[in-house]
Amino acid sequence: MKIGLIGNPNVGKSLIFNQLTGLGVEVSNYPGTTVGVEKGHVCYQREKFEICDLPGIYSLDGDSGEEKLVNGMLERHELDLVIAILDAVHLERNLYLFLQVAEYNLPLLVVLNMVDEAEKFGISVDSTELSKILGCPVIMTAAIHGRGTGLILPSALSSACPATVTVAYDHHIEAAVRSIMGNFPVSRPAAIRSLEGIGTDQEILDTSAAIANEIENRHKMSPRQIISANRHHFAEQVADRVITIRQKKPGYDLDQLLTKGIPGIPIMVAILIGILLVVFTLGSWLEGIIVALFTTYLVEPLLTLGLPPLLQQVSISVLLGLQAGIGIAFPFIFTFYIFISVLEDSGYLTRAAFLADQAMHRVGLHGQAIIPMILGFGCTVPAVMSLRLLASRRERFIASFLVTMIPCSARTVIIAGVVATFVGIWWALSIYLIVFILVVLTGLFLSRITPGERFGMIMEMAPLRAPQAANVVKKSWMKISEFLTIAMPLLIISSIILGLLQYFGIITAFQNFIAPFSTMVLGLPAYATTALMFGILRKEMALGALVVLAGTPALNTVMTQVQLYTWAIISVLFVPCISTIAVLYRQVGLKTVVFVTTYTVILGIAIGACINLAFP
Amino acid sequence: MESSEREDYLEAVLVRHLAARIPPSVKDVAEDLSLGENTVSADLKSLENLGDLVFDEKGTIRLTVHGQSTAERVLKKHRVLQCFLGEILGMEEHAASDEACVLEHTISDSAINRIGNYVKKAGSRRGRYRKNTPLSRLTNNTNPKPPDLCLMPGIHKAPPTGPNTGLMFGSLIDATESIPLTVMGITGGEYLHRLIDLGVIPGEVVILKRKLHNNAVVLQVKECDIALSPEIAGTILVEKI
Repeated sequence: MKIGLIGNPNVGKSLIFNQLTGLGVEVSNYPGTTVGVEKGHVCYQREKFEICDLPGIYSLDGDSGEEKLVNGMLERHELDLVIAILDAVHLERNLYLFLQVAEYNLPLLVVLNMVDEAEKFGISVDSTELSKILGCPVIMTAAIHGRGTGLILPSALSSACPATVTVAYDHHIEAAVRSIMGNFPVSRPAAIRSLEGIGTDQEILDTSAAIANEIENRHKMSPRQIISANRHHFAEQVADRVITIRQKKPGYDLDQLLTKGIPGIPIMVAILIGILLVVFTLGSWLEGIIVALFTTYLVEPLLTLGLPPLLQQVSISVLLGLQAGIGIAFPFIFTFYIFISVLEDSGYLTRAAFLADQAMHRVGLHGQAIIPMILGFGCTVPAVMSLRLLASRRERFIASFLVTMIPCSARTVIIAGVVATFVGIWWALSIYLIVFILVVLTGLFLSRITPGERFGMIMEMAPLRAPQAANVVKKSWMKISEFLTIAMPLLIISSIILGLLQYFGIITAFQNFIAPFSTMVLGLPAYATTALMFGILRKEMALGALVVLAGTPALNTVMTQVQLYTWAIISVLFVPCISTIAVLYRQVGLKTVVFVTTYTVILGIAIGACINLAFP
Repeated sequence: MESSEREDYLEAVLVRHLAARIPPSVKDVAEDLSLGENTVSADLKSLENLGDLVFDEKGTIRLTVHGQSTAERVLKKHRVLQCFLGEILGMEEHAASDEACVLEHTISDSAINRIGNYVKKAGSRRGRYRKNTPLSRLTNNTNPKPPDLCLMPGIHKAPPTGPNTGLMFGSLIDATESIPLTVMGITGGEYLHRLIDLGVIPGEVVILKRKLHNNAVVLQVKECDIALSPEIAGTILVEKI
């Protein structure tokens, strides 16, 4: 038996799913956390049930992928039972979707979630009356505290039934629906949808379009608008009958501060910079400890074992790969995600996105794209993972370029370790400036040439809530596991390959091969270019490799300041690291990965060559 | 220039602006009025001298507060008249619009108020579904001359009496924060359906919670806060209650 959870975005479907199945699905306080269908199994009274967490939608008639997906499942009768989750605070808007779902005549259970939050707002819902009106059972829950969720499955199995409620559409619409159903063997919801111009059968669509035209001429309003208006009106009437609002004390609205240009934008900048600073300091401190522990307790003992050279090389490479993975994952990604989860669960990210909308427009994106950009300063990997938030392919395409160009904390290590130390702090900052300019130029360019739909920002603001510590840690942990399962194997494999290349002397051969290009085009010694290659594995490894290959940590004794600057800027720009490539591949596909990689390589080399030309 | 000509120009600029969502150029206005570009350019220059509009650096036309209020008053009269002639008296749509184009310049404020009230009562008597009766769909209308737009009688509130009858409706980005507004319509766009699904439908009462200087807005609709890009906010037409 297949049970589907359907509801608006951000009503707690994923939380209820987690509580029903015991699985870990990401729960956030912004709309659109679930993109695909999450499935889980649960045993109840020795029977197995499949539970599907469907993406949050506002309507079944929309054009977005999620809306089509959910509607398709309903139309093909893939679900045996539907649990409709409604937000008690926003009951009227939630009922709009419910009324559409109800037309499919499936056994339904209504879960009225967030009753705790509704109480806080002085809203109380009469669930008996609601159940009477809708004609199907209604239960009240506060999933965040686990209140009432234990009843969901038992009530669904014992009493769920098709809702008897029907929206009284305008009589012209009703007549049209009857006439379509008389001429074609279609269900009522399908007939209504064909009148709205949605469907697959061309013959039905043509007939419906003719009728729709007539209605439109008469009403000066398209059937789709009439139908929506009728549903909204009906939802409003239902909500009016079941909701009582007590006089509540007007609390202080934090949005007075957060969404105003002033002080909202300074607050946003302060929060972001604060997070970057904390993550960077805390991260590098933890990373130092992890790397030291690895070296002392694993690498050095291994070296004293006296293994055969080839085996030693391979095992050292495995360790280095592990070290690279864990050295980034825990210190940077985990700490970063703790902060980001707090921002997400508090509902602040949607405010930041709103404030950033204008700036993002300039580079062909919308407010929501600020989220991956912010994550990008910490680590490109989680930033790429969050690209799924963006509405259109076009935006995801543009954002994958910009996000990979943003200097992550590993690249900050290079900028700090090479340029700030040996050239000067202002030169170090100038790299950020150059990268920023390149990001803007790339955005401007891509927004001109990228085809695809431009979808303005229509984003529901998540309510402000105090984040729950358990959820924050759990979510950060899920991110880490995701990172480890995707990137770790790749890191180890590529580390082994690099190790073997070194063992068989291919690195030296490569160095000889690259030497003319390196000195002619980039003005760098061959070993510096070779060191850059190590940056593919992990960005700050390029710095380690440079020190090893140059034979001294005092880099200013072997390279000029211009060379150091050039080297740093190339390594910041060129080729995203292997972990980024891996997650990018999963998020946006092979073609975009190839584009992004090629572009960044060309960009890095071009900028390097330019500097070399300007200061030979 | 005659005052009716002036009003026609201002109305044309406003209608074009509302429909295209960007300020129009001289060429656009000339096209809409089926007039020569040179004539239009000269006439608009004299309107600039009168303080009704300004040309910005890109050569597009922006109405001043003065020009905007005149344009809106005329457009409002046009819509009330067209609605009255078409919906109540049963005139053919285009004929009603043409007739309204002439009458809009001469009819007095008190007469238009009375017609508006009459239309409103007639709308509620017929009361088909809800507050939004013979709803005119406010589409992306780039029709020459008269806009085929019509006020929605069911929700049409009595115009305020006294001299200040202007600025009754405009797009969301012209509205002020924290004042309840009635949605009049949405001028097209692929996101139209998403807005409708969120409850932004004609007749709905909404509150503009926040407007940034770049015109990105937060709109409260059905107790939910929704953030909108400026280009979307600009397509939502609202009226002060």
